[in-house]
Amino acid sequence: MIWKAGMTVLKVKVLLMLVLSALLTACGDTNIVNSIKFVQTIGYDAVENGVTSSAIIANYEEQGKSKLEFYVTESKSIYDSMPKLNMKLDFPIEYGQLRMALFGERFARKGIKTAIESLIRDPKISSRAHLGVADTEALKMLNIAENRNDPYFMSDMIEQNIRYGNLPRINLHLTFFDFYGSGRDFFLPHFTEERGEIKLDGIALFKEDKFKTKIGIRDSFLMKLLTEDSSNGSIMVPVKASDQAGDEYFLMNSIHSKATYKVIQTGPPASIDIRVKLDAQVKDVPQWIDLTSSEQLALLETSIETYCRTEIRKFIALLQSNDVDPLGLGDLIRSRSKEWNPQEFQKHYKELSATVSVTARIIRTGAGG
Amino acid sequence: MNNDISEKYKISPYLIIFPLYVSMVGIGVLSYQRTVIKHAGYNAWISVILTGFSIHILIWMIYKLLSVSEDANDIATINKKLFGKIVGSFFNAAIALYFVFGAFVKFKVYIELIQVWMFPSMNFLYVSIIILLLVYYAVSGGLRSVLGIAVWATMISCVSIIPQVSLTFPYLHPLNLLPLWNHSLAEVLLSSKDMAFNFLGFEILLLFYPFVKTPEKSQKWAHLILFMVMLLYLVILVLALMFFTEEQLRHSIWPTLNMIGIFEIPLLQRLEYFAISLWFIKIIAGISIYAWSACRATKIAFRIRPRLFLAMSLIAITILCEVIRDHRTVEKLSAVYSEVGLYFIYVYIPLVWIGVLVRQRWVAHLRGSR
Repeated sequence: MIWKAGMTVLKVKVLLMLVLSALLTACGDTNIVNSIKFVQTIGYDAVENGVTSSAIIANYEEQGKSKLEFYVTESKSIYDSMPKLNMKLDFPIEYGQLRMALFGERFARKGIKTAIESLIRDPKISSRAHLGVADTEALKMLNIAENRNDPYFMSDMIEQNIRYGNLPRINLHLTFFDFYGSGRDFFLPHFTEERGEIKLDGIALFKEDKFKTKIGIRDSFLMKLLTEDSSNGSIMVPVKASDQAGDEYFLMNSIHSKATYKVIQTGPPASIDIRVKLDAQVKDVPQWIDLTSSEQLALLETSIETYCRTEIRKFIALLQSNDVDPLGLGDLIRSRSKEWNPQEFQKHYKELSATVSVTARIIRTGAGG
Repeated sequence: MNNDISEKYKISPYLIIFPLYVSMVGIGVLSYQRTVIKHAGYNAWISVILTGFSIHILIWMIYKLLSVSEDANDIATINKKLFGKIVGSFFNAAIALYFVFGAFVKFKVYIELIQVWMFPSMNFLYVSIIILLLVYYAVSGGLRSVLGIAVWATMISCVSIIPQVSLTFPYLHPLNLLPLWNHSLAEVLLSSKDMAFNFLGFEILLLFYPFVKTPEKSQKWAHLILFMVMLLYLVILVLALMFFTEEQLRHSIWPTLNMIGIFEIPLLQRLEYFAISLWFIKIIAGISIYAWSACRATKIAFRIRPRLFLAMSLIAITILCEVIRDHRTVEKLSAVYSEVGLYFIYVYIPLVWIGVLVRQRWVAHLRGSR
C-alpha cells in the first residue's frame, strides 16, 4: 500500500520535472534561418584612413537553394564594420557561420592583429575558420568567389589543399597558437588571380602580425614536410642520367613523412639537426627510367634526397634572411633551454645553423611498369 | 536535541563519490587553466598535484574529526560542543551562509556562460526562477533525491568531458611542456593556491557524514574520488598546455570550451554548445548539494525548518542574480568566495581537527582521574 502511494507521488514528481524542463526550452532567442543574414566570407582592405569590409552573404530562399549577396562598406576600423554593414541589410547579421576572412595585401602589410583578435574574441566564430591573404584587394578577390556561387568556395579550397595538397595545416586556432607562441611566427594561405579565377599560389609569411613575404607552392610543400606529415603533397624533382645533359623532372607524391628535430646547441647562435624520413610514390617519370629496376629506383631516391636537402637548406636560409620563423625553431630552442630569451634568439636567428638529412623511400610506383 | 537519522534516509558508503564529484568539479573545469598558469606557466601541472595532495590530507582530517566522538558527527554539533553556544552558533551561521553563497556563485557563473556563448539578449529572470524551482524540488526531496541528481550529473559529465577533450589529440604540441622545471618553487606554490579554489566542495562531507551507513567505510571512496578529480584536472590542464601556448591561454576565458570547439562531428558543427547544454544538469546538482548542506546546517544549529530556509535562500539567490549584472562584480564575488573557501578548508578545518583531538584527550583525562 505504502509502496503504491509512493509510486503516485513519484509519478507526480516526474510529471512536475518534465513540465519544468519543458518550460525551459522556450526561453531562447529564436533565430530562423531566413530572417537573419549569415556572413560566410568576409574581406578586409586598407584604404585611406579606414577599412573597407566586404561580406558574402548567402540568402536562403528555399531549401537547398541560395543566392549570394555581396555587400561592401567603409568604416574607420574593423570594429565598426559590422554595425555599418547592418545599415545596408534587411535582417540582422550573424557571424556564426563565418568560415573565411580574407585580407587584402595592404591590410596584411599594415598588421592584422586587431582583426584576428576580434575574430577570436567572438565565441560565435569557430576556431576552425580560415584566414587568407590576397595579392590584390580582398574585395576584388571576393568578387570572383562570388561568381562561383558558393559562399564557402575559398575556405573549401583551403580545406581541400590541406588534405590533398601542399598546404600545411592551418586555421584560426593554429594561427593564434603561432601568433601568441614564443619563438614562432604564423603564416596564412596566399591567393592570386589567374584568368578570372582564384588560385592558391603559396603561403604568406608573417613577422609578428605583419605580412612579410610570400613563398610559392613548392616551398609550401617543404614547410609541410618540416612541420607535419606531408601526406598527399607533391613536388617535381629533377633527375639527371649520366648520359644526358639537362635535368628532367619527375613527380613525387608524399605518402607519409616525419621530421625529427635535435637541438645540438641552444646557443646563441643555436644549431639544430633536422632529419626527415619520407615515403613516396613515384609514377610519372621520364621515358628512360624503368620503374621495375631497383637501381633506377635507387637513383630516384637519391635524387629526391639531394633535392629535398638542398631545397630545405635554401628554404631555411630564406626564412632567416626574412627574419621569420614559421617552423617554430625558436620554440624548439625554448623547450630545450632553461633560460629562454626571445630577443636574444631573434638577434642571432640569422646565424642559426641547421644540418639537414633526408631519407626517402619509394614505396609505390603505380600500376604500370 | 535528537540528531539520530533514520536508517531509511541513509546512503551506502560508495555513493559518497557522486556528491563529492559533482561539488568538486564545477564550472571551474571550463576555465581554471587560465588562473592556474598565472604564476607557474607551463609548470602548473605540478601545482595541481600538490593541491590534490593537500586536499587528501584535509579529507583525512575531516574523517578523523567526525569519527572521534559518538554523539557529535557533523560540523554543526561539533561547533556547539567545541566553541560553546554563542561562538558555535556564529560558526554555524557562517557555514550555512558559505554554502548558500557557493550555490549562488556556481549559478551566476553558469548563467554568465550561457549569456556569453548562447543567448546574449535573453532575460534570465524567468529562467532562473524555473531553474531554482527545480532545485527546490530536488532538495525538498531530501538527501536521497539530491544524490539521485548527482549520480546523473556524474555520469553525464564522465561520458562527455573526457571524449570531448580527447578530440584535441591531433592538435597537441607536446614540446610546450618542456623544459620540465623552469619556475621557482614559490611560483608553483602560488599556482597551487589558485588551484585550491577548484577543489572546493569536498567540505560538504562535514554534513553528509552522518547520512552514510558505516561512515568509516566511505573514507576510501572519498579518497578515491578525490584522486580521480585530481587526475581529471591534471589531464585537462596538461592537454590545454599542449593545445594552447602560454600567452594564448592567458587570452582565453574558457579554454576547455575552446578545446572542445576545435572538432567538428557530423550534424553538430559546434560541439562547445552541446557541452554547455550538458553542463546544465551538473549545475542543478551542484546547487542542490550546496543548498542541502546549508539547510542541514541551519536545521541542526537553529532548528529552522529546512524547506523554509531553502525557499528563503533560493529567493535570495534569484534576487542577487537579478541585481548583479556586470561581469566584474561576479568576478569579485567569486574571488571573495574562493578566498573565504581557502580559509575555511586550510585554517578552519585543521583548527577544528586539533580542537576535537584536544577535547577528546581532555574528556578521557577527566574520566580517568575520576
